[in-house]
Amino acid sequence: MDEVDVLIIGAGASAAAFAWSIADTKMHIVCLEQGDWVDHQNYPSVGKDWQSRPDFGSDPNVRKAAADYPINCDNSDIAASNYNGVGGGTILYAAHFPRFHPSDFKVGTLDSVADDWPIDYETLEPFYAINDRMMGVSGLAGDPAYPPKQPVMPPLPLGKSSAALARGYNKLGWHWWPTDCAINTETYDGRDKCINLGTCGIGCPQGAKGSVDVTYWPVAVRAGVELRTHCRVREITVGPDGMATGAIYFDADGNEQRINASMVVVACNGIGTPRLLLNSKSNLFPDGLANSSGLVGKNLMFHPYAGVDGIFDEELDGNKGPHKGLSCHEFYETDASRGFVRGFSFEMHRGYGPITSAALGMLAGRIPWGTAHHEAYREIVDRMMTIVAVCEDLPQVRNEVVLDTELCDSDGIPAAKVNYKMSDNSKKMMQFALERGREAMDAAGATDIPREVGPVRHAGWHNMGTTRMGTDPSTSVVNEWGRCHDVKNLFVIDGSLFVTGAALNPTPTIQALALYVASSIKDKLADASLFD
Amino acid sequence: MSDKETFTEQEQTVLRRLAGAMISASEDLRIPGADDEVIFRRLLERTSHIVAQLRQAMDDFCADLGGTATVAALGDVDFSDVIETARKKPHPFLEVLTGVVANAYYSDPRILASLNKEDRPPFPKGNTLEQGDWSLLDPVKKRDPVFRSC
Repeated sequence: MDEVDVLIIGAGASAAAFAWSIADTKMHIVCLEQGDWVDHQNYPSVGKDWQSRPDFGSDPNVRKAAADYPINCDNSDIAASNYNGVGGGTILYAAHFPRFHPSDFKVGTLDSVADDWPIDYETLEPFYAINDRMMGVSGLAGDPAYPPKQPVMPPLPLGKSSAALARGYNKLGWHWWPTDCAINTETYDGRDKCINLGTCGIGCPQGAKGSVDVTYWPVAVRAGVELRTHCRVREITVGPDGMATGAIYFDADGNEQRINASMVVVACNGIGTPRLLLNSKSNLFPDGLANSSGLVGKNLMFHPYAGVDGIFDEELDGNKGPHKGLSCHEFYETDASRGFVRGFSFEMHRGYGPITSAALGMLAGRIPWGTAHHEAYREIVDRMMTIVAVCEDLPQVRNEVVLDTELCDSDGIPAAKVNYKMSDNSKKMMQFALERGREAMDAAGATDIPREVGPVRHAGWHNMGTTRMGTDPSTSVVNEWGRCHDVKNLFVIDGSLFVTGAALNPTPTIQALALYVASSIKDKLADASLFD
Repeated sequence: MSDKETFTEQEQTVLRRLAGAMISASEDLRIPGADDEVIFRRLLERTSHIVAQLRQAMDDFCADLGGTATVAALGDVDFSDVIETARKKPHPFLEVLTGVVANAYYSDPRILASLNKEDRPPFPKGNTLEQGDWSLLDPVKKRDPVFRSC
């Protein structure tokens, strides 16, 4: 009989941080992950065909790897993106690594919309700092958009693209700051510094990008955590007392296995986690595990993305560096005079390789057909960058993850379906953001703006809110330290916990929260109150 | 190989003609167009996993052209009207084809050489990124906090 103390389901960003932290209890800890470790020598950027590798695309419905499960997004304005394997989304993320603002935890109090989180920035701050050290965050202290914090390494170089945009922001008098990134700017923790492959979003064979398969997981495994790959969990099991007893999963050979655990921790992201809970029905939980509130899967939040491309006379960086460079938080906080609440951040996308430059230019009509292609192309290549708006999405119960009634994965487990519509608030915000993006590009010296797009459909990287945390079991699924209200030995540690989504990449906050939950569990283990 | 796995000759003719219309050869730059044999072969290799989807999209495109246009018929007739229509009117098939043509064309060593770009993978050589002028931050450093304290 397979009996463990702690069962973690999923091996992405939150699971890695949690496993690393909880390992010092010396409990018997097993993590089940449906995918595998990534072979870094198989990353696209080691080959000449690096721009032609569909196996490293972010859409699971196109990638269709063995570890992927279908996500029906036919009724969603935004299509989900993920990566299923050890490292989760950090394998493909650009490593843009901002913390949330203090106000992001107090949206209800400050802006009279949505709700406050049951914890605040100050509570998470020490865990953000631990996570920055473990992931290896480069940046620059002194950002007026944050309370004081100290990155671990110096910031990434500005490069030509960031410098051009910075001049534009300065002309407008807007805030900007070099972006915090989980990318080594010097040798750190046994990993080399970044050599500007420009392929962060399809994996980093250099190891300079902080994905959790090279940061947390090696340390957690050395500390005794057992990570089993090719193990797909079908359901979490419960006993007659309403406590979780473990899980049933399919092993690498496709055989059904059972594992018993004293504590179950779910880390499958904002779509995978509700899917698993909804698939874990029982007599005690006919509507899905831990779902007496009816909120498992509800309040799905994405970050609606919008982009403004700019073409410059001067040569920029192209794709010769990390994707991210600057952030602008000028429009982050609520200003009701704008006609919407909450706000957005501006990222930048540094530039594009030869193929993407051609495709974008042709699709935008900027590069004509025929012999005129060549002159027009040479005006664009290495001369284009994009301002990207990351809009805060307010929680709405109608936006949800449910079980698909027809689709299943390769093990016959019902797939997820996303029902999602952008709110009027998000639409107004996005329109405002596009206008400001255009303004910024003009100020930066762009001679042409060939494309403005929003919402970007294939930008569902950040999925949040679907097992929200709170102190009231009627309006939340999980309590203020990550334990499910209904099941006292069941925990959630991923972005499903989020009460609101902020306007920034969620990974640092997801991981800080996972570390906080681990710390809370350790405290309550010490005073024997964990399952009270 | 069955038709499900590879494009028919007629389909290849249409794809090649469209590719060549999208990116034509340049005598000045001494580079081929996207209908070049090597480049087109690369296009076929890189679309081998989406033949069915591209075939369906191509059939839809032909149907939308109206009349008696079919893929088989387009392969044999004067293509100039089709190209003019394609230039002016977006179509999902052309959007996909744009991406695959750009992919095959701008992977070619001759094209990369014409751009003074190295024909190599990004790793392990990497690239150089200049530090830039950090004094650009000076005005921002003078600002009051832009976050709301709570």
